[in-house]
Amino acid sequence: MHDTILDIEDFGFTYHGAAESSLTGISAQVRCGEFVCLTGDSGCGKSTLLLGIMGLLRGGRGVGTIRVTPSDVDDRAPAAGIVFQTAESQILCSTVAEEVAFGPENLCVPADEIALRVREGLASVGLTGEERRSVERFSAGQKQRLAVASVLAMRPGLLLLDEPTSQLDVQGKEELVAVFTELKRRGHTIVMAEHDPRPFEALVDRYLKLERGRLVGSDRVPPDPVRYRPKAFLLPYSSTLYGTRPVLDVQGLDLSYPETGEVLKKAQLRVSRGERVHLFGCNGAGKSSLLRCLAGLIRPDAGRIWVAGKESPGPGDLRGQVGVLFQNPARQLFAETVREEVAFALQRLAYPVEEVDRVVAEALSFCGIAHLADRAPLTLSFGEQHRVALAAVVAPRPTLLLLDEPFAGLDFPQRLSLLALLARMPIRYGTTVLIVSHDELPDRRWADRSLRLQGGEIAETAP
Amino acid sequence: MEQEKVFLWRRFTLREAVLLCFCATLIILTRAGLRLHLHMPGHVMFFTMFFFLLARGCVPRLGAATLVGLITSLASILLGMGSGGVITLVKFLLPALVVDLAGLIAPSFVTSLIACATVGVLASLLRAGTNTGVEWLLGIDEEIMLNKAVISAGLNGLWGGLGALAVPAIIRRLRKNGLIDQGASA
Amino acid sequence: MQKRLPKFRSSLRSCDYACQFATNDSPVHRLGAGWKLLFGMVLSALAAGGRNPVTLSVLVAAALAYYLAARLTLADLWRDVRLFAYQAALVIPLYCLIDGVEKGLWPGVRISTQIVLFYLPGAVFLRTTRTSEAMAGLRRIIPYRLSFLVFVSVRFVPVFFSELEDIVALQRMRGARLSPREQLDPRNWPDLFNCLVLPLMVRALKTADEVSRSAEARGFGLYPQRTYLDTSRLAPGAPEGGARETEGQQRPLSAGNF
Repeated sequence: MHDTILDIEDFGFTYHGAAESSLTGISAQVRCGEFVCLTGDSGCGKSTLLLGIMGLLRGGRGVGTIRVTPSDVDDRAPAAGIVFQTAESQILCSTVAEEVAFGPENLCVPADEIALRVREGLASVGLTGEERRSVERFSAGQKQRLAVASVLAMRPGLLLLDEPTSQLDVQGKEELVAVFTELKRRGHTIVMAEHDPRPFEALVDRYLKLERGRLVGSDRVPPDPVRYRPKAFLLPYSSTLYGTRPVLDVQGLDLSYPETGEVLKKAQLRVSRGERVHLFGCNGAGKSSLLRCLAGLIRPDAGRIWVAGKESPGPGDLRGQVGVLFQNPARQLFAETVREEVAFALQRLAYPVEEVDRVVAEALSFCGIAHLADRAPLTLSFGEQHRVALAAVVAPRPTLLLLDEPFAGLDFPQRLSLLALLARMPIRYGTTVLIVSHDELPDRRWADRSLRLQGGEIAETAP
Repeated sequence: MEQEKVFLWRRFTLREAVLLCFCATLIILTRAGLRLHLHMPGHVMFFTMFFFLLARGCVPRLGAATLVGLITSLASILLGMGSGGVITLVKFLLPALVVDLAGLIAPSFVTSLIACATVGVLASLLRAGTNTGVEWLLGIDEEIMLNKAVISAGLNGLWGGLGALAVPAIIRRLRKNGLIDQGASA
Repeated sequence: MQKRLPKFRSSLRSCDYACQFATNDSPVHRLGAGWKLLFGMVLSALAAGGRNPVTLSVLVAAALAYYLAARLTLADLWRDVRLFAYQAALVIPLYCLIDGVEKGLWPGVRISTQIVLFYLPGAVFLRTTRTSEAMAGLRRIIPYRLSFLVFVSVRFVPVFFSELEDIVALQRMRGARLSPREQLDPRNWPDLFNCLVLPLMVRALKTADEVSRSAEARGFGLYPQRTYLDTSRLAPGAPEGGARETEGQQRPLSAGNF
């Protein structure tokens, strides 16, 4: 069981048009049956290395060699298979069975055997009996397990996973960990790229640590993601400073959809000015729907909402007063420069021209992106785009800032610095901040109050 | 590193083909959305022409718009949005062919406002012509047919032209951000 | 933005839009997709040729019988032919105006009927054929590389729809003029393209990267031919309900965002 299945020798890669190489001098070996975790911050080259192993890097310039030992059992089976980060865009078919069959069909596996492989694949990820279901109806966790099944159906010798849990809630993560535990037990060789490998600690045999495209460590010691010192600005909410006037008051909120039924049942929520609130809920618990109700984007079936002194506001009524940042905020970017992007909301609020320049400059420096002011937002990295979107929402100094899964796609240091920024919002602008997420906060001390949305109701949880 | 493999019709890579198929998805989305709420004849051409020309701009190869047209018509039939059967196919393919023909004559026309508008109007006229063709097949009175054809062509052309006008700005922006390739080749 | 119909309104409707798939069962539902297409084409061709009152009446009777055999109601029929009815209301007076009522009435009625007859078989096809059946049929007649693209474009309709909803919501909160009422004013159209279509295209480009990578990683396009899963060989106990749910997904798309 100690044959080498993956052999990387002095591998390097530079993307087309990039000034610096993404990977340099990578040498590593993976033995059969090993569970190896590639770890490092965003942009360290984890995904590039996985694509290199798959032979999917196009354009660009590569040096060195990567050898993957092909399977000796099945000559049609691919040497390696990969599960990507976003489940939504890697699922290509409409029903579960078709999706799992997609790989074997491409490999011209006979029809009888495909049906067998579909059953096998689904069984190994705990989705037996779901063959005819529509993938649209699956939760994020089920989709990711389906993606794993569809790769397993091709019987690859080596299984590669690119940040497989980044979109999943606690339950989804646990289910996936159970799937990988079983796969490891059955002797599968797995290489996983993950910036936060804590859920997998019991499984990982070896960590390959990457930093700026170089391999800086290969050992059994898990990396410590919390390189962080408590900051003085983590001051608790003080009623003497902000008063107890509620900025947000929700009473008896009911919401239901024709397809999914009741999402919110008599939900209550009262948030005072200057408070930092974290609302936790699993995937599909109705967090995003609640946020949309608060922003006036969805009209609830029953209940009353007061936001910033307005009762049941529409989306147009809250401009400048309420800032909203949805998951993956990079998709709201459209302007030619970062400065214009941030100025957009201010111009629409009819700020005077000289005022716009001043406020934009301040918002940019508050978010730590003053040096990017003249860059085109669409050419920036994901982390930088995230900051630009935040600056655009923060610029009008909203009374209430609503954030839906703001940490998705960010690595640990980025998450902490975002949290630090959000902690300064009440002090700097008197803004109330409400974070809604399926994950724990990177630092629990941030929240003045922690709430949980479950079964359509909001309940206070112990700090 | 190896270059991307050509996937379809000896000209499109898989990525390009998928991008073109998303243009078709967006046409269907906008069409479904508009159909339910607006009842203005010819308005469908607004987004149809826009995405045909955008497809040509994003994948500057002969046949790009035609592929979008083909996928749009087949997907419309699958989704229950094209009761015309073969006519649906012709309705989307003819304007797409005009866009590709324009690309053959002037490879970089998508960045010119006038060229886009001209192609948009011409292609939309041809689509209006398909309806007239069906009526001719049914033997409708020529005078009435002509009257109707003029009105329908006018409206189609207007909407198609308007949709086409928005293309150059978007293409320029996508190119400037390095999201699509510069320049064009037929 | 999610638009939800009040319950009483949605319960009154048998369908949400013309030519929507009807979930009931009928002999026409059970007929193969290919046969329906062939039969429809024959009927359409006959409609184009039938120009005297007798043939036309026979054809109308045949088309009606075909429509009703699919267990579709007259309310459904009205939805499907409504647009043509408006057209007829325009065409018949036009004929009468040009040729006089006596000479013009019959040709006007004849043409209007022919147009309806020409399109009706298509409506029956769409109302009685599941997307999955039509897909299976399509796969048999066009090359797999092309049918794959058609399926992907259908599969991603709901994905881009929710993407579109989110972008509209985000941008409206920032002050973009994207509400349906604001969009009636052409001066607000630049917002439509700058704040909605451009970000949507950026998403499409990124998603195209991910989709093509996922397909290529699973060996798509490796061989000139490919095999297909025989769904009848799947586990017999597999719930069929899911398949019906898929059809439930063919809900109308709200245009609240345009």
